[in-house]
Amino acid sequence: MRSKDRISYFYDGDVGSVYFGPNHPMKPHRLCMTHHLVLSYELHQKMEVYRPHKAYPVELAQFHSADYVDFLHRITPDTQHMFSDELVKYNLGEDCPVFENLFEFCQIYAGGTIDAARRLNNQLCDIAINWAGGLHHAKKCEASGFCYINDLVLGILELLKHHARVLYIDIDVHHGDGVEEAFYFTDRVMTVSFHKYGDMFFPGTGDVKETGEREGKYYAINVPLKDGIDDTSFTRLFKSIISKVVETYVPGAIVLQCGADSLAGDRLGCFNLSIDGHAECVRFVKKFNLPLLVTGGGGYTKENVARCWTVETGVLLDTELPNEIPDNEYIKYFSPEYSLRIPNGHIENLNSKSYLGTIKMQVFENLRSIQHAPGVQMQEVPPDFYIPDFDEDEQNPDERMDQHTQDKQIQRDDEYYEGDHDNDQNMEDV
Amino acid sequence: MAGCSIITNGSVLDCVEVVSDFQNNGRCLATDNSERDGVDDRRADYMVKLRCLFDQVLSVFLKEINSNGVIRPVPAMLGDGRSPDLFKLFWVVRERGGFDMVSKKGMWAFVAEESGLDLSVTSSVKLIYCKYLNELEKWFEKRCRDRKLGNGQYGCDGDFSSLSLELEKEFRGLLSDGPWRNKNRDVELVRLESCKSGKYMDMDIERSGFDISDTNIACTMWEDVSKWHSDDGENVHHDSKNIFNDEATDRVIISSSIARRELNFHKRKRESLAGMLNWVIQTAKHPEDPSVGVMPEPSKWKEHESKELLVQAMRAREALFLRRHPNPKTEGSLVEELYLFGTKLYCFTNFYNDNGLELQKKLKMHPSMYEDGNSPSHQSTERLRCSERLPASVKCRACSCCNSCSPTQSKLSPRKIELDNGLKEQEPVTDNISATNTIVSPPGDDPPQKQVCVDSHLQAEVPEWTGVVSESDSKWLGTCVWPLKHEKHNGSIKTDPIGRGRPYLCGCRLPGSVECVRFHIAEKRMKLKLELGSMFYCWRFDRMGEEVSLQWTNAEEQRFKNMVRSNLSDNAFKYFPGKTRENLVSYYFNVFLVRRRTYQNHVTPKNVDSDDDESEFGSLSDGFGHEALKVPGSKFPACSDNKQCTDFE
Repeated sequence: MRSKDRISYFYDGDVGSVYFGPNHPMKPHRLCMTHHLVLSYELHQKMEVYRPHKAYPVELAQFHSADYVDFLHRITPDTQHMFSDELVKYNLGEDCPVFENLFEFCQIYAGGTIDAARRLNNQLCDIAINWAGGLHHAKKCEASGFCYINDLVLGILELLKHHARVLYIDIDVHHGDGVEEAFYFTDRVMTVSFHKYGDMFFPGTGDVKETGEREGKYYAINVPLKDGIDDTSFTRLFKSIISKVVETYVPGAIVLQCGADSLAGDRLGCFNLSIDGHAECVRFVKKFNLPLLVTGGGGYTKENVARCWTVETGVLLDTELPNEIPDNEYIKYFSPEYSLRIPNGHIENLNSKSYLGTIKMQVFENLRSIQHAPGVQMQEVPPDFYIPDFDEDEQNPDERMDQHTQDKQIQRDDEYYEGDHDNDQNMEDV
Repeated sequence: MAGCSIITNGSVLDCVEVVSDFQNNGRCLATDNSERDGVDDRRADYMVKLRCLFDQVLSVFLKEINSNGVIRPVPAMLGDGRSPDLFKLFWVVRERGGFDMVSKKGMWAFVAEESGLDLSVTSSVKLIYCKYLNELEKWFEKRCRDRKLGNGQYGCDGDFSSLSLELEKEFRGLLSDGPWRNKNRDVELVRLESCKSGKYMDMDIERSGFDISDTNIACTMWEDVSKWHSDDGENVHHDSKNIFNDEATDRVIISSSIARRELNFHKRKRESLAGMLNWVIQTAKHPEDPSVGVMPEPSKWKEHESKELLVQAMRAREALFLRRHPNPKTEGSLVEELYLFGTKLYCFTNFYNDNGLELQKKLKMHPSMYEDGNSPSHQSTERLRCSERLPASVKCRACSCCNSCSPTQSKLSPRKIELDNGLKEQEPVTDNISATNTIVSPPGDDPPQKQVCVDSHLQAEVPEWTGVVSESDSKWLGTCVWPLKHEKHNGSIKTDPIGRGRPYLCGCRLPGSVECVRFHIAEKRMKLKLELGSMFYCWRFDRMGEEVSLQWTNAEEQRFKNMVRSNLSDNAFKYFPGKTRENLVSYYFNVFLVRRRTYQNHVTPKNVDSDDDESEFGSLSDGFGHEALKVPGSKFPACSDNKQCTDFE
């Protein structure tokens, strides 16, 4: 039975040979293992598999500064000793080493996310998956946290060409600071990140109080969590926040970063999520039936990453996978149980009910500010009487354009305080 | 200097407290056409000077805004990434009668064109004017009205350069005078009669170096309110004399004479405020009362001097909403009291709106608009946050409030930098003041919001949503590699049901044995190869699994093992002349780690970790195809001597 959604899955065999260096926790080989596991479950028969184009430097420079892209392009392990100043400037070195094929690797995973966004834009698919992408820490002018090029930002920028508002959801154990920062001042992208916060945990940002600025005020949501959060509390929190966010923000498309380091037993993570709990979030987001771009992210226990993303590929394809892992080249990695489920972690859950409740209340309060403060929302979010994007396919394109133009016109009036009609209405509310 | 007379040297001050000690130094300078010769030259020269000064003033002004937490990035950018010439824009709009007039007449397209920009950015031009220059304009207008109300005289100044020099000197003097004396409003009004056109050109250019500590703005505004009321618009603090010491003597004399008047003025102030407040209450209670009269247009306010109270109220309202910064020491109680009337004032304005009276557009704004993120608590917490954050993040995002002016600085003359330094010195004081202000949180205001310091140059450029869906690139959508299009799919391959998992039983003689496992992997591999066709190679499946080791000799494998042990992988390929880096990586993941894993599976099944490169390891077999269990070299006598990572169980 084929899933009714059209799924595009991106993979390039070359990522398997990328190696960050000895003792580096980031192992692109996990992508190879994931792909292999996906194939051994024969999920490829239910979807289209694409080889992404290698993103051109000019495409990468849509977000990143040209000099940084150029430097990544030029630098090699052999020449890096001549550019120590630049290495410091661009934060290359320990966490983000310069290795062979570095730029090609960036081109592949960024190209995958960009292609995925373009396919969604052209309505060639409903869900696009690029497990190689999701490197959410990369900044405009520097590398950070194993991330060089921020493919998510590039993908979102691509989606913004067709959608007024894009929602970004991040369930990596680390804060999605690169994406948040890139869209901190805009209300066209809402970023929601669930992450471990505190104890100097990387990257140190992501307090619930960080909500965005200027036009983007309240359009960045952070859900800081403590060690050891389990399936039940995580999925409950996730569902209540995300459903409220989607209801309030009415995004045109969703980008979901599925960092697998939030799983129990991750080398760098400290959460207690099972693969089922992690995948439940993906299942929940899929249910909104919005164009969905799914990327990978962190994940430093290779076989668990492969398990997790395989299960999630199955979820997106509406396919339950049997627990017994089929024979494949990497079967030995999945010993001793050779099963898809992983044992629960034993980290103590430090997230008390009251703590999670407080966080949730604060997030909801910020969301209410979007609904009730006309001063904040004028830019792009349309007034209540117009709910766009849901049935974009059905609408006559011309009509839609008119509606948008009109919409825009109203917003302009608001912006300049000329519009008598709805401005006054807002004032009455006070 | 022929024909030079100093005109209004009006400075408002607040002598109540040292903290709020400031001066408001307004000057009106007019140029006459008494000297017709060389006016053109001088005009051009003057324009350059004006521009230079304008840039300075604007940057100080913006900096002041920035310190309120409202960030206006410099340079201002239009939608298409260009920077408009703000000076020119300001000039053009002033020529057309100001923001309100231009908006009313719908002349923004014209303005855009005049400023050397095309029509496509009209809306951006308007937005930029609104965000960057409107307040400047409003301040200027007020000064302008002040002057007209007051008994200021006009003089003429034929020597432009000396004027400019004077202004610069004053700027510097005021700003570097001391951290606490951070109030500077320098209003310059120039009337230039152009003899060329023969037409009287009103070139009122305002220069206002705004005070940095926004805390006192409300206070300043109050001064203005009162000043509005007073007949002479010139009040100079006696302290300010020091500043003018180096200037013309006659000015000092004027200043001191004005200072004397100032004292009387202060006595009157409170009474008039009380009167105004009463009036506001009355009006709010009985909006229909004919005695309230008709609300005049702002532009006509100056003609309604008989309605002083109304005018005052409007000014007060503006001051209140525009800058919610009660000064705790001086006007604190008064301002707080006035907040209570804020809502009433607001309703009152609405009442007039509803009656279709045209008010200044600004007044129609929702009160929340005035907050604009500039409550004092924002400012202080922002700073705190910034310093707090420094150690926490790997690389701190630069603080916007400290950095927002950096792009300008590079373009600035040393003088400008000096100016900036002057501003920075004053910051600590500002902090203290705003910290105190947090306590005096006005009723109904938002709770203090912490803010992250995000450098405003690190964002993605998000274009404005136009609603027009641009034609998307159909290029580079990825190459579809599956399902295969060109190759005939081999339908005869019988595939197992999708996602079947692994059968519990197989037909092997010894299920679960090494041979059995190997057989099934090979079987699966063959099936996949047949099914995938060329994709099998494309996805590098040919380089997967332990088969990779078939390309390696035993000696090479041993060398690799030793190399990993001694952590020399960095230059690994040097030890293996025949192997590419890719080969090594492939071997590492496909063979080496798998074997280590196999070893772990057998020896320490409860404690496995294939992601720990650092720990030492043993190996069950030394090569593909060998079944014999071999304990690794004598250096590692016991397999059970496991030093595996123990970070998870």
